[in-house]
Amino acid sequence: MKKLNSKQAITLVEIMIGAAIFLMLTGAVYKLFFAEVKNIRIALEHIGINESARQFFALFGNDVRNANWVDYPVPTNKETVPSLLPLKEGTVCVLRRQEMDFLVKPPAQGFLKEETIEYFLKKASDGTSDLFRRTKKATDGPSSEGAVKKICDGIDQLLIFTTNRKPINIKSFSAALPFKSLITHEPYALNGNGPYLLHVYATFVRTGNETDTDKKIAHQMKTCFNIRGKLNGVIP
Amino acid sequence: MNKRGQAILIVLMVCLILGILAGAVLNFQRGQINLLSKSASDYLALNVAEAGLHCVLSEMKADYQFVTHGNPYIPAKPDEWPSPATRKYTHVKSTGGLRINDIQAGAYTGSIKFSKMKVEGKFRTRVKLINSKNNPDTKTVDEAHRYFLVESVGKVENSHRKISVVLEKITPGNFVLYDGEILDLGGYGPYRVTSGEIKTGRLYGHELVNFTKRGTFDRGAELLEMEKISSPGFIKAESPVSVEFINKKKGVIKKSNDSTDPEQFESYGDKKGKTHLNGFVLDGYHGAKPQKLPMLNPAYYKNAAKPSPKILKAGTGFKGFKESEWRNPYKPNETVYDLFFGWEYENKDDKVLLYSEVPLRIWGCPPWKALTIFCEKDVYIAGDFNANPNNPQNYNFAYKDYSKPPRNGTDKNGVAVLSLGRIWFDYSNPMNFLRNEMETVIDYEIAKAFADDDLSEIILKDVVYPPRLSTGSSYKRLPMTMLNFISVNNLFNLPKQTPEIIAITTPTITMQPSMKKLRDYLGNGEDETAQSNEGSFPAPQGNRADESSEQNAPHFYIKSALVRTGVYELLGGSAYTTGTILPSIRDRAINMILNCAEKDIASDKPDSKLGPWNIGTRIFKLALKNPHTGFRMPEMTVNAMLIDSAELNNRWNFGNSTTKMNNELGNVQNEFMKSFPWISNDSRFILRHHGSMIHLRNRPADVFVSGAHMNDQPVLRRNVYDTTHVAGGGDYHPPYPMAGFTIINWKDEICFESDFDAVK
Repeated sequence: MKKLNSKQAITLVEIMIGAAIFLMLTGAVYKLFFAEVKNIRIALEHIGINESARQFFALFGNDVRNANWVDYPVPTNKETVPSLLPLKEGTVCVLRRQEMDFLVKPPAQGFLKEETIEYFLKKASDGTSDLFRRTKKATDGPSSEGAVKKICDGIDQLLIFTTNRKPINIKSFSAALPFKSLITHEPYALNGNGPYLLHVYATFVRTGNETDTDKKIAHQMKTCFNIRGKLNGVIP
Repeated sequence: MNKRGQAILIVLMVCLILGILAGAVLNFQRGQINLLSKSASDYLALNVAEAGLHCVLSEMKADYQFVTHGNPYIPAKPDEWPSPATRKYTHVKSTGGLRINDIQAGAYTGSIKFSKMKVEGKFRTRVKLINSKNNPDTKTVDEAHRYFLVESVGKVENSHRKISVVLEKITPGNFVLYDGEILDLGGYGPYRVTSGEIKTGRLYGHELVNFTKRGTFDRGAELLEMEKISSPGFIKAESPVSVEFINKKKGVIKKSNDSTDPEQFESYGDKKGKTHLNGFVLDGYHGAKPQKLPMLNPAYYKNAAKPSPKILKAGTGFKGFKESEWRNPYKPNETVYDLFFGWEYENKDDKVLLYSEVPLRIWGCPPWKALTIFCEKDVYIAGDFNANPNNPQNYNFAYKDYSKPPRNGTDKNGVAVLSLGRIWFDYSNPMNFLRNEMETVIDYEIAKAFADDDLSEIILKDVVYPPRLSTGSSYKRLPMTMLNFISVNNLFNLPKQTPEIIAITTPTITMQPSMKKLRDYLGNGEDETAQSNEGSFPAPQGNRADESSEQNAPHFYIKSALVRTGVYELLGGSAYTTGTILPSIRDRAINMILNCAEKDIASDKPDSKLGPWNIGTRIFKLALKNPHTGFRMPEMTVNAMLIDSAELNNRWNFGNSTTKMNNELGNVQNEFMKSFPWISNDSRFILRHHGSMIHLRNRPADVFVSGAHMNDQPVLRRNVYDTTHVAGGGDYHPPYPMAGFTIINWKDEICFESDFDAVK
């Protein structure tokens, strides 16, 4: 009868099999771990982008709603909109906000108190742009920088514009109701034009790294905001 | 030592690490979701507040005096809300997810159901007049009653948002000319020989302000004391126009500085960089505010309380109101109702509101200090309206404007006419607008009938047409005496023994040769005495309005032989018995003639030989020759703010063209208007409108106006601004003025429950 040894040696085959399984497991874990890390990083970047977009649109939307006029950009003919180029750096929008001091008797200039709100882009080291907001009161003086605050980052391209129609040539038309549509045009609110409607095209990107081959664009938005106030003077 | 299970341990550790990381991500995401849901409810609260704001804005556009606190006349202290105002009902009704609470005083409240989100938002909104100060530089705007503060708080779950906006009240009285579509200045001309003027007031075209001329011979109008020329669309100058603004700055609006090239646009205001401040000329590109006036709300006028309206409809008994025989030739099946206020100027201390359900044809002098006429249909202004007949109608150089502006209480009252259709100028019946002008001409022609052909005009001037400088009693004419008037002398020298007196002063006075010229003047060309035709005027042949019949003048045929005889007896008898014909006697005779002419012209078969159809050209020529005297230019005077609603559906060329067919009728032969041409094309007739001309253009127009039923060749249109309609009150301010409201300032912010509760 053959006596069995309780401390049986590990065979080479077993070692090989074990090593193979270990390597496979380690490999799988490694891959799983880093894939997840990458996904998490991307997810975090997306969250950051979303947060950037949310901050931008919330703050910018609020400023536009509360504004009375767009100082910059000046309206462009709607036909030329497709040729407009988005910005990566520099001033993208200047809004003017007015408050009326009804205790002041017009035409004294104090009747209208004005503040400008400027949005501008600055290039960051990762190739994207950061967006800043500068507020400046009319009483601050020309040398004042105003109050500057960073709003968000990760902006790849930003285009803000208002549109205007070309004046119509109507002198050859004879008016009558059936031909009215030829000589009158839709109100601004219906056809998306006018100086009080700000169009915004924005592209946000993830920061990523140099080896990251995935498409970086995370968020593209086309929207518009309506300025609720109107441009006022001391003579209404 | 047993080392089995190491791999499981490692796997577990890896899982633990991954789990921790996943937990961290989930936690972060939950925070994000919370943040976003708070943002969402904030956003919804803002929308709910905005809904409340727009409901109140809609109420204000339907009830132009609407406020929730205080009243629209007495401003509140800056930081206070006055006591709640009461209201009978709301014009905005609950619909869909929107519910308006039926609260009859104070804050305007309601709610909105977001059914898919299963949340409900509530709003509380209030509005008051802001205590603002009047700008002394502006004549057309009453800043003290112009700005309103609206506060609207929205609440969704635990989110609250508050919107505070400043509304600007736009009143028609701000404008001299307003068009809800295209304001084409050429339509308000022409100005011939020299340029005319449009003075004071604002010009507004919602789509376009177009400076054109009415054809080659129109010299256009200068714009003086302009406070604002604006369009949220474009401003185009097909023809250059000179402008002087209230700050005395002068300029020319022309092709090179209109809206065609925004860079070259001239606003005549101050500039800050590229920004235009206080521009006097503004297009949409440069910041013109939309100032669209809302649709007229009939219910507002029909349900008015102080004063309550007098409703005019078929069968209503009201002085001067009756079914008319006159018809608009564009729509002859429409039954029109005359509303004639009489010719006597009064200014009773009343504010009156007339509401008409039927088309109105109006003329005469409304006797109240302030009158509003609201009409659901078209309104035809058929003659002088709200003009004291004693106003001298003296014009300055080139008939641009009166040398003395007409004043409330002396020359006119405060009147506004509002129509859901069109407002027409109907100059088809000269008796309705040339009566004053005819008086002096008839007096002149009667004087000529009693005089030698060589009687000096100097004497005639003192007797018939001395200078007429102001409204009132200063206008004194002299009697016609036997010293200067041969026929008066002849009549006076007739024997006066008793039997002769009886024989002469009754029927036979008319048979006297000295009365022959007068008989010819009023007769139809056939001498009723069958005596010699020597010295008589040829009989009129057909229509006398054109130049070819000029040799037939003067002649004023009235049909009634009885009235003619009465006139002969009155004038001849006076001459016979006293040797004079006093102005008062002549006035009585003239009134008899004109009253008869009025009946004649309205009779079933109008006759082109009648006096009124043939006197227009003579009125013009005598007035032209003798300015600032008793002779007045032929004129239809309308002193009222005119607001109509119909879209432009007329033959109209927007270039420099005469093809601009206004809502006008007359000076043509037409069976429906019983009219004939009454003035020649080379004469002039002034169509003077004093008050704002507002075309809302927000209701469909019925018929197409081709211009076939008017001959406006002799028409000079004058539009003059009237400050009566600016101030919010006053004796002469017509009741229930309409208004529009524009948001000019906006502020929204996060707030709290206490802010929501504070709006009550």
